[in-house]
Amino acid sequence: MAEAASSTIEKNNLTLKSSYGDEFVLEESIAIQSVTIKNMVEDGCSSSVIPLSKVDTGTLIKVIEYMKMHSSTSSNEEEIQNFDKEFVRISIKTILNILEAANFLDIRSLLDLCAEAVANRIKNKTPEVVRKIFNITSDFTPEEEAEIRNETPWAFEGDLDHSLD
Amino acid sequence: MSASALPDELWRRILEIGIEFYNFNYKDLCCLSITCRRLNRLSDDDSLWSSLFSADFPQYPIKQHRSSSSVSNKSLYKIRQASVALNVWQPEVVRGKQKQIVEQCNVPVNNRIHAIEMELKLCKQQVEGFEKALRVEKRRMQAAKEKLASVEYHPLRDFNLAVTPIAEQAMRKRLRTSSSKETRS
Repeated sequence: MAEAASSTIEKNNLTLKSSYGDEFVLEESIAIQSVTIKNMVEDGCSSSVIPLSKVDTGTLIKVIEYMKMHSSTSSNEEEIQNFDKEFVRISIKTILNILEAANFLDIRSLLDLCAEAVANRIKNKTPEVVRKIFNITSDFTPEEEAEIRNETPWAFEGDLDHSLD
Repeated sequence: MSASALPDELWRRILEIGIEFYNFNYKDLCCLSITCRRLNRLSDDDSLWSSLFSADFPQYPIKQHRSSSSVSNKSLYKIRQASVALNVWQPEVVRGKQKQIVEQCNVPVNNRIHAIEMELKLCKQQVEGFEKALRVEKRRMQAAKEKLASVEYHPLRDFNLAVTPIAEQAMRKRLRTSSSKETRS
């Protein structure tokens, strides 16, 4: 009996492998918050290591941290909210990485959390600041840009945030 | 990974969520639209603007715009311009006036054309009715004029048209009898 129980527990562990080759062992019940992983488990391809070639180690650590917190039964609503708030207090680059990973792994709540965090950083920013934040180089010619500005001159007036945060 | 590598669908989700939870407004979308071509394209999505619109004007449900054709997209564009202007010009009076214009804009062009055509038809019908009445009146006047022209002053006939002929006959009879009596005697 005891042997059977321990083998089920073992069976319920999954190994996720980041793009850097680092392996993380995770309980299946936690990992299947990712619909992608859940589908893999259901299709029976979870016996070996699950390679996540699109997710680097740093990002995968964050994703696992998120999944662990959100599957934990001991944490209440408020704790989770605070966790989420702290979770996205990271560089925009990292958020975008997690966003991409959440999309690939199909973790809806994490995707929305990151999208919200990105939206929060865009809100009320000048175009110049948005470009800086996201490292965008304008591909408009100066004439085109002037034309778009003239279409809606009022949109660029008033109290916009020039800070980078 | 930089923002430019982010797939379109994720950018779309960011914009959607931004509007849903972070109260993105027209300014944010316009500022994004000017950063680069890609964001210009993504931020020009009608569904984003119509969510903004329905947030500003909850009395107009979004579905109305989605179900109708390109005409409504055009009018939606107008409305969005007007709604943006509306938010910019804060004074209440101006706002009220703008709102009126926006409300007028919201009526589909086809319906308005239709309504105007109906009105025109109604007016034409009315004009026709009046013309008919005018013709009838004219005819009556003509008839009255003819009657007037035919009427001539004739003291005997005019006063007691029915009695005169008999009276005349009687008079003649009497005259004749009296004259025959005279000749006999």
